[in-house]
Amino acid sequence: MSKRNLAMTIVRALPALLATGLMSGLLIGCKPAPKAVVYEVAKDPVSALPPKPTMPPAAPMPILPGMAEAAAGMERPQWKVPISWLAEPLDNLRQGSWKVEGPQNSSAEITVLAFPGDVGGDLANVNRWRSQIGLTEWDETTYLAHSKKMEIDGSDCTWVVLDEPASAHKEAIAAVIMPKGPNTWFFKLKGDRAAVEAQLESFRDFVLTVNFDY
Amino acid sequence: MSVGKNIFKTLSSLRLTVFLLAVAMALIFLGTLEQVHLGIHEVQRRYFGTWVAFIPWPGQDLAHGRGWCLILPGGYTLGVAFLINLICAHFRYFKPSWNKIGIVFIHAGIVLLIVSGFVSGLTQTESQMVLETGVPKNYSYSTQDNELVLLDTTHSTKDIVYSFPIEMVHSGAILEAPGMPLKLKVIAFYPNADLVMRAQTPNAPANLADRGAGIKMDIGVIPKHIDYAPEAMNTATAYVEVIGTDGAEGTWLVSNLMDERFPKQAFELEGHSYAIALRWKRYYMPYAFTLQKFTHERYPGTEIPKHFSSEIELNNPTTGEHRTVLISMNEPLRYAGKAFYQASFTEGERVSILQVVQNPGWTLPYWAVGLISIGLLTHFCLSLKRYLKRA
Repeated sequence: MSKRNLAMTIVRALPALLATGLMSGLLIGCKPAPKAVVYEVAKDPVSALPPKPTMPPAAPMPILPGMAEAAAGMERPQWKVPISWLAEPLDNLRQGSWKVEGPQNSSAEITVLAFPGDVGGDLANVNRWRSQIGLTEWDETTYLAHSKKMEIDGSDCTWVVLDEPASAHKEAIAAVIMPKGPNTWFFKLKGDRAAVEAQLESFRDFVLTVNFDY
Repeated sequence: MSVGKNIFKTLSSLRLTVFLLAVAMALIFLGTLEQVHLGIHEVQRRYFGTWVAFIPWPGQDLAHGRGWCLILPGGYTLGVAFLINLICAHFRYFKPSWNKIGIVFIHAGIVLLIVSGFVSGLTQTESQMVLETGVPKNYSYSTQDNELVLLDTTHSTKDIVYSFPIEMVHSGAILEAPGMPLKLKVIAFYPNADLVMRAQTPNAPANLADRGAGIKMDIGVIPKHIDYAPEAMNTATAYVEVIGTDGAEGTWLVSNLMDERFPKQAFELEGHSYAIALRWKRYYMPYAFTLQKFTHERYPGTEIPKHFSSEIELNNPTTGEHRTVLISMNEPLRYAGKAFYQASFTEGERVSILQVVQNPGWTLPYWAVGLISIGLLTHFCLSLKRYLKRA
């Protein structure tokens, strides 16, 4: 192709390119800019929690850097584990983990976790557990009416059972929250209602054996 | 020849078609290579869901905003150009005749196919719905986009949500919404960051928060580059100052990493209760799904999934619908303009994960393929008839 022909081709192509650019510009102009949206949602046990779990479950649950190290560095207590509990592998945060079978093919797990601070307070934690098994949130008064105080190894602990057979949900939780120095220990029995109810006595006996002063 | 005729001739030329095809091939090739660095979603956004594509020169780190680049028309520009080229070519070469009615259908189908690509690119949303057994859920959330939200939780039965897309959240931005009595000032925004406990991390940056979980747990923020790996979850984080009618009320640290395990980010102001969060963008629906039963079958003697399905109770108060539906592999539920696909589940099989796709133009490709098929068939029959006549 001669230089003249090449120049002519470019000149002839220019209007097409300009027309395409113009049309693109018009379409870009039509695309709305991001703007704030205001809407209302019904308050339910899930959406009422302000920062609801937001990590896509395909991703591993994030652990705040420093939290696992702090948990690993904590002084561990001694305890006596019932013989029927099967030990499960531990991870960065779990100080203890067991599985237990109940009647009618039911099962439950017992976990022990410890964190620095109060991790949002007792009521926030109890409501988080309630949402895990599909129960509605408690307010402060209901929580105080349903929780019991118990002393374990000289610490003033909270005992709570989240079990509502009248609800459609099939799971239950029993838990003990134990403040110890700057940290909080969480002992939790969670699983099918039948298994949790069958293991309630053993779980209470287990938490009473927790001893930091050995 | 007049200028108008010149333009028309160029726009309808086969040369333009070949040029556009060559550019499209180059864009697809370079985009495929770039997926190594940017991942499929980011390449889709930067190369194809855009009007201009900036292709980084080999060895340049354009992902983080510096370096030389090659500029090519993006997917949208190519689509528009193809559309113009096809329409002009049709009017230039087409001579009305019953013998060529098939060609009309074929061209109309191709035009519709290109248009459907635009409609999907501009309006399609994808999100995930995580269903725990027995727990009703009325929203799904994006796994790509975040939002900064202020919730007015004063009412006993409802929450008012003021939602700001993450594109509006940048350092120094003042965020206001219609009817929102407060202002939010973004002190600092980090598209990705490490959150650390300052007590455990020597040399952690200063904590800018003076309210909420950030100060209660004394969390430090260490900014880092966006990770474009497909499985990476970027921790979008911001320090946000709440401004009431009497001035600044305090600064909160918000992050999509901060979930229910953290202290509540709630506060009372001017007679209202509020909560603040930076979270994965949510899409609420006027109906709720409740997972009744999740079934997971494996091939005998292996852990390879053979079939998994979710039995779901659908409850729509606006239409009075209350029924049970089954969503399984390759058998999605199409309901109220959305398609719900069985995507995954978590260990223990108590949680089922659905992929939710909303695409207002999802039927267009089917119509387009239908038109093309009719066109091809008609053209073949008419050509065969002419051939048989000659024979």
